[in-house]
Amino acid sequence: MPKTFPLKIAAADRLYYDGPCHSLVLPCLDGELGVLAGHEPATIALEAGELRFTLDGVVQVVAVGEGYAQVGADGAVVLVGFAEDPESLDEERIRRENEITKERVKLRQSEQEYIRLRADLSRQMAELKVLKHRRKG
Amino acid sequence: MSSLREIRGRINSVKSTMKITNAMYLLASSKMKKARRSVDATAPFFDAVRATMAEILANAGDLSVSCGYFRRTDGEDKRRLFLIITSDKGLAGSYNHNITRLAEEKIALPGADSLMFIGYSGRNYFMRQQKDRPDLTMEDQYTAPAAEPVMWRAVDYARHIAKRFREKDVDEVFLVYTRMVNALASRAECVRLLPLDPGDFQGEAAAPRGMVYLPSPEDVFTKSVPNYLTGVLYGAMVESYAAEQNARMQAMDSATGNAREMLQDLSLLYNRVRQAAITQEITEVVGGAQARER
Repeated sequence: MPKTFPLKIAAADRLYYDGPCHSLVLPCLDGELGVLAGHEPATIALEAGELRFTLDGVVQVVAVGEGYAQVGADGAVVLVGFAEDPESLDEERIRRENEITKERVKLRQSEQEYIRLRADLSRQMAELKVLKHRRKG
Repeated sequence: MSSLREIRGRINSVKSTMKITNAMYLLASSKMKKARRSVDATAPFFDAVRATMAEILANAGDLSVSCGYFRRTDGEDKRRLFLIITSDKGLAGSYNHNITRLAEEKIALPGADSLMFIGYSGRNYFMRQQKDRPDLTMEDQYTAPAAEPVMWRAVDYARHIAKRFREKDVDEVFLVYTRMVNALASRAECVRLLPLDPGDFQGEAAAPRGMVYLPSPEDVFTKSVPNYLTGVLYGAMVESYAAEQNARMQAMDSATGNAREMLQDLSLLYNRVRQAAITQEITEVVGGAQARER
């Protein structure tokens, strides 16, 4: 078994992952780059894309935004605009749409608009519910 | 003199208004504390991004040519983008007025301007102005409420701003927001977001030796700019929000004070009128009795 090294994946609003890992694959500007324990100190620019890391043979995939990763003797730190589980990307998107629709409801100018927004809201709620069930089931 | 009933009605209405202003005061103070906490929680991320950018600038020498975010254009006719942060609603003293006045001053300078908003108060104000200023562009899909600053919005706005600048749609980007000078005072301020000022990144450049930048220092720097802007934006959003709540607290505090004063005057008046009515009644009774005796 190769050595593990500490990995931190931080998005602007939260720490997505903080723990050990065996290997790490980063989405760089010119292709993918693999990192193992004891990598030379480097700062690596990251493209928005897919980041993978392996712990005990299990591969985890993370959707990340632009940013950079800093690798050194004391592990790797990934600082990106966002970090999401790809499975929940859809859910996150719909939740945002839902929030924006709610804001629009507050600002509505006419009854007609209100009815349309209400329809949007209920569709988004339904989609969220389906996604949630699928994730649990 | 007004009748007893009228005065009683007024006392009740002032009392209920006072209840509302007092509740708004309490609400504003708890919202402000919450916003402060959220900015403290996100600070380490942005400090790290900023420190790395400073390191690169200190070690890689002059990036002003190779990195697009330092581009400057000379001359009068600049295309400027303003992001204006106000509140959604009024009842916050001069908070919104200060911002719109400052923004207006800046917009009055020659050049074509586009406006982005956080907070409906500012948007509504400049929508009305737009009739006289056809050269103003409103970026309507970038108009959001100020209520409860959320991170994903800062991310979204920062990416949009960075993209507009990189693609040379705009020459300068400004942020108009309210800064808390201390716990009591706040001031409307206009800061330039882009082009970046190398001076902002000085004084924190402890570069680790042997650090490699992949694929190049410029690329790491360029990719960090949107995240850096996100940090600045989110900080400004929270700061403005805190200032708004603070302004509302002060406005509501003085409103409650005024209501209390009014109540005092009114109850004094009420007692006087009641006493006068009683006195008059007694006089009438006594007068009537005397008339009968005679």
